[in-house]
Amino acid sequence: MSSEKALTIALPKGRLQKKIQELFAKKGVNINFEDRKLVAYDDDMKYKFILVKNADLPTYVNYGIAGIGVCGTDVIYESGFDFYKPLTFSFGGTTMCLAGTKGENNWKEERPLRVSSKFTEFTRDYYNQLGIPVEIVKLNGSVELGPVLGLTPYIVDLVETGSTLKANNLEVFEKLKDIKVKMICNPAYYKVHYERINELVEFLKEEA
Amino acid sequence: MEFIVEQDTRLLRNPQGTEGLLLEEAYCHLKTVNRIEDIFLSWGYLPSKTPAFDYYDVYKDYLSQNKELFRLFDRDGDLMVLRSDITLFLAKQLGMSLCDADLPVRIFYGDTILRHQGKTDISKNEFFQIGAELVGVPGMRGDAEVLALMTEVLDNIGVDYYCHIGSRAFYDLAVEGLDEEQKESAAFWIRSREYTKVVELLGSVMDAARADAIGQLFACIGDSAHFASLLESLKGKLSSAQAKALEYLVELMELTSKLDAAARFRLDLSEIGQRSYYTGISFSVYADGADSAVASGGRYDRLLEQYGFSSPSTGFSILLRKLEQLKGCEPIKQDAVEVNDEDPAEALKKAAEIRKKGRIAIL
Repeated sequence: MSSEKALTIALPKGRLQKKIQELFAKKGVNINFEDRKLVAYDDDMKYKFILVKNADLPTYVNYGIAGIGVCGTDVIYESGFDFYKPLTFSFGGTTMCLAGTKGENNWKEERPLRVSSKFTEFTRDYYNQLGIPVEIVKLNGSVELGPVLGLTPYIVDLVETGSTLKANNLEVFEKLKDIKVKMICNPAYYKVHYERINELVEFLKEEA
Repeated sequence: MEFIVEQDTRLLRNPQGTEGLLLEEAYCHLKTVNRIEDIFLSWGYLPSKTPAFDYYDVYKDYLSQNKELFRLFDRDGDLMVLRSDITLFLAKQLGMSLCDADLPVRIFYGDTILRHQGKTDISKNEFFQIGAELVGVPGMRGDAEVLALMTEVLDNIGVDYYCHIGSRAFYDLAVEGLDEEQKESAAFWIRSREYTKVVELLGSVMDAARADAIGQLFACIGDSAHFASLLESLKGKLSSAQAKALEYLVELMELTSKLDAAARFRLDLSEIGQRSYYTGISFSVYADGADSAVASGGRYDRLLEQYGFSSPSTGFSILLRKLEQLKGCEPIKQDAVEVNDEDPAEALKKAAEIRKKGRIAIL
């Protein structure tokens, strides 16, 4: 009975976009964003894909602009919004870490802990729960510059291969949390379209 | 600080989350409210008005989400709360004034509530809640009446919607053995549809087979037939009270199966009620295109007794502006006559005569 309008799915620009398109392609669904366009349909018009900035993806899904999205648990947490997360993907996982200048690992003693990060909500909540006073400087990118330029001695950031840290003479001091890539759904959108969304989840499930 | 405009117009803006409604949009809203009120009246419901604010302490047990409330101190230093939930405010008024001889009471309302929705730009803090309450009719008959009334209103508004019905009663039975903190976690996981976590939590206080059965039931969404068949296969693993609470839902669906709106009902046990005062069925309505539930309700048999009068009660409320935004506003079609007369006194007289005949006269 739910209308056969295309399901709207938000995809993140950046490192995850290609992996997601590959997964869909493997399952026979081609996503083709023409020439700087940010909206694309699959060949059967079953899905409408929109390409958005990673950090904004939860916002679009929260307001129902896209009913479904694919993004990391890092941006989900920062957004503060509630979603259904019916599927976890095997690709794209990273680790949220505390890092700083190589050889200067004094975070257990230095108080307050002075940290630069894009992930202010996560950082604040994480250290509050441990009872560690923390001073956070919000940066929007190239967070490694924090310790390099003397803004703060420590950073909280995503680490994948660690090559960015290494190149800037930084190292991981603590692994804080595993970050996974998940499918998110606006809860109200899910309730209206649950049959087709459940089908999509089954469709995308990767073989174990 | 540099100003972008020359004049200092800082006060000429609305505080975040408030809205004004003017002219055509307000007319549209008014007409919709009138139509809905006529429906309520045709079912024998009478209107009500609740105070815009009240003592916070009276409601604090049910208003656990403090950050969504607008609170203020009155001149005596008492902490007040601005009306954030009409069901609650109305319950107190009814609790204080009803007696057995009055029952059953059919009452409706339509008014603004204030709830702080959060830090973002386009969320609203002011909502118009319209709904109804049936006091003194217990069990299935009361539940069916309220569902039928609500769906008649929604059908009249004319949006594509689904009503997801769950059972707070079943949820309370399912989490009985858990402590308060675990219950909160269970509620969170159930609402988030994270069933492995629900089963894990329940498994700490019951055998694995029962925990798994309950987990499967919380995960199920579907029409009555679909739900009934799942229940049939699992009920041996439930306690008899738990099975009964679920059979109630299936029976309720049978009772309402002849309604036009029956195809829009789904059984969905993750609907455990946003407020803690629910005791029986709890339901939410979702519309295609709305980013969150547009209506909700349920049975709350022990709410009125908190305020001085014990009586079973069931009801629903609709966030009307959300539905109006989906429907949009039709241009006003008024049967209006423009009165042109050189003599203003004549014009006034002519206009009055036109109005007496039931048409609109604009000078």
